[in-house]
Amino acid sequence: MSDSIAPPTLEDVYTAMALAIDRVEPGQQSMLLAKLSLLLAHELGDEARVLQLIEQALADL
Amino acid sequence: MRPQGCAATESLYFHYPQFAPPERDGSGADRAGVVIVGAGPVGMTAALTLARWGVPSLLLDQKSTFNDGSRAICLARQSYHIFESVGAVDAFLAKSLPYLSGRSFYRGQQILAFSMTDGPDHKYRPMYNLQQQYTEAFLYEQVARQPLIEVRWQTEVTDVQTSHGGVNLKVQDPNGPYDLAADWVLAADGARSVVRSRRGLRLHGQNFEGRYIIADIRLPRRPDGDQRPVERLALFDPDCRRGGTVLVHEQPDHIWRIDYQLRDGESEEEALQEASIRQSIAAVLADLGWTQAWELEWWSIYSANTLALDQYRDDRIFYIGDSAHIVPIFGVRGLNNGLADAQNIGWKLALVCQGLASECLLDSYSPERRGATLDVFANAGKASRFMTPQTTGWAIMRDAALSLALRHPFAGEFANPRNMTPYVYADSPIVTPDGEKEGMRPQVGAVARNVRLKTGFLSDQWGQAFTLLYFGPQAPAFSHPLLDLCVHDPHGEVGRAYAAQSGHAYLIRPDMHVAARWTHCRIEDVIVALNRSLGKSETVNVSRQEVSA
Repeated sequence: MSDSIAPPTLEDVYTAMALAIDRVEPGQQSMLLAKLSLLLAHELGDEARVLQLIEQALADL
Repeated sequence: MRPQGCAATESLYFHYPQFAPPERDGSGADRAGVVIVGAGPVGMTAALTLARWGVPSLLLDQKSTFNDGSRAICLARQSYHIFESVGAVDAFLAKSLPYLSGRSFYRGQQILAFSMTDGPDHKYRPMYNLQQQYTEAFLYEQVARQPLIEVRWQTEVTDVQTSHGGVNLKVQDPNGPYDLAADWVLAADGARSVVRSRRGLRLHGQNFEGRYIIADIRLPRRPDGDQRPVERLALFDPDCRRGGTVLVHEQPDHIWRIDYQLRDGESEEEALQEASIRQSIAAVLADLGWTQAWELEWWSIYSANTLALDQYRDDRIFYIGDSAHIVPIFGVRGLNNGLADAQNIGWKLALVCQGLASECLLDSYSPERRGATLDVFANAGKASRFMTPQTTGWAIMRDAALSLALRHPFAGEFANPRNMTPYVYADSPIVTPDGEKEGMRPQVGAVARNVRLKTGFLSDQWGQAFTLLYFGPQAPAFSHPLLDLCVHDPHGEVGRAYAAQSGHAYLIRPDMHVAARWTHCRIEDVIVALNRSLGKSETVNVSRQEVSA
């Protein structure tokens, strides 16, 4: 019952981010993540939710 | 600072007049009702506002001429309404450069084109560029012909004491020292205010520590000729100044303002050397592709601060302009807010001096104008953090936004300079709050809407004091010495602009801000609101003598 074209999973996002972080210069890793965050926030269109998620990301570092 | 060999006020294009000190015999003491310390644009606007109401004032300035250098060059729409109110606007319109837009670039590529609010219903354009010494010269033309204003140049205040019901100043001019007693003092003596320091008061706030060189140059002709709109340019991380920001503004007389950020650790002393200035400007012009020969006019250094007094009133002394608040240049609210301070205390103090308002009215100056400063801090602080990010976090987010903006227009909006509209006095003690009134606009405390009419503008119909803008088939039948009636058909052009219905009314203050509004206007309510705006008790009985029904 496996789909021949499975939709990407969170695991694929995890992998893509790991590869992207490794692809850029160490000095640009923060900027890459910041750009991605702004793009995701813009697409999500729910700023209050993004602010909650920033708080969640800060936990347990 | 000026190029080597030039005197302090030796300009390529502006003739600085020299003003003589007062002729006195060097003895005795003097007194005045209102003393204004500082004859800059803010002090002169305060004096002219008082004079318009028939209140004399004495203006003191320690200099013998106008301010050196072009300094504050961006004048916002509401400042032109203030210049109009003091009879000076024609000279400003004839000389200044109006503009509507700006563009921002990141590493040479455009990331933002912004426009400021404009349209046929606005009497003045959103922004004008004009060198500060022209602003001072145009205001001084009015001051010099105004018999109610005396100016004493080369007159320095050395001490300030308040006593019961007055202020005692010690003053020094080339003839010697003398005592000057005043009922009221307006301290318009700038960022390094002597009045403020003699009173032991300090500005509080933040220093963003972004340092900019500001320099004026003259080009023989406009780059791109007349095709180029007057606009504000911002260059982020340009080749000529990696990691820094450059701002470019056009001024009259072929003068261009170039502001560029100094790098961390870059020595101010070296940056201010003429050779370094010339080299840095040449690099900016090369980046812009402007290849003409140019002349250096003037330069200075500036750092982005948000500093203000905790209170703008100190007994019988009022702080107006830079003596009360220092704001970052990016919101262009330094001089514009100073002019609004001058107008605000001007009409209030005039009404008090004329016995037409309660002294309590003066207590509203500080909350209204300090509120405006804090609003600037909130917005200009954002702009400053974008222009000169001070920590890793701000720098990463700024760079991320700029980088995204190359392909995603939404991110370019972070580079919008957020030039601000006038502050809304929603929490002022002298306006009448009413919550949300459905269908009514503008809100209480905001500047009333202007409308273009067949001839002139709606604002031309408003009185010097208060105006009741009333929508209905006929005018309400009453009068008050401080109230003009302005009646419009709710279905006419003005009515449409205000989304008005019959019975709607707005009480408009001398500074064009809305003091109160009603969906069903009753004379009694208007009188109560007017009294509140005059600092009189809200519960005052409506005097039938004031109402000629």
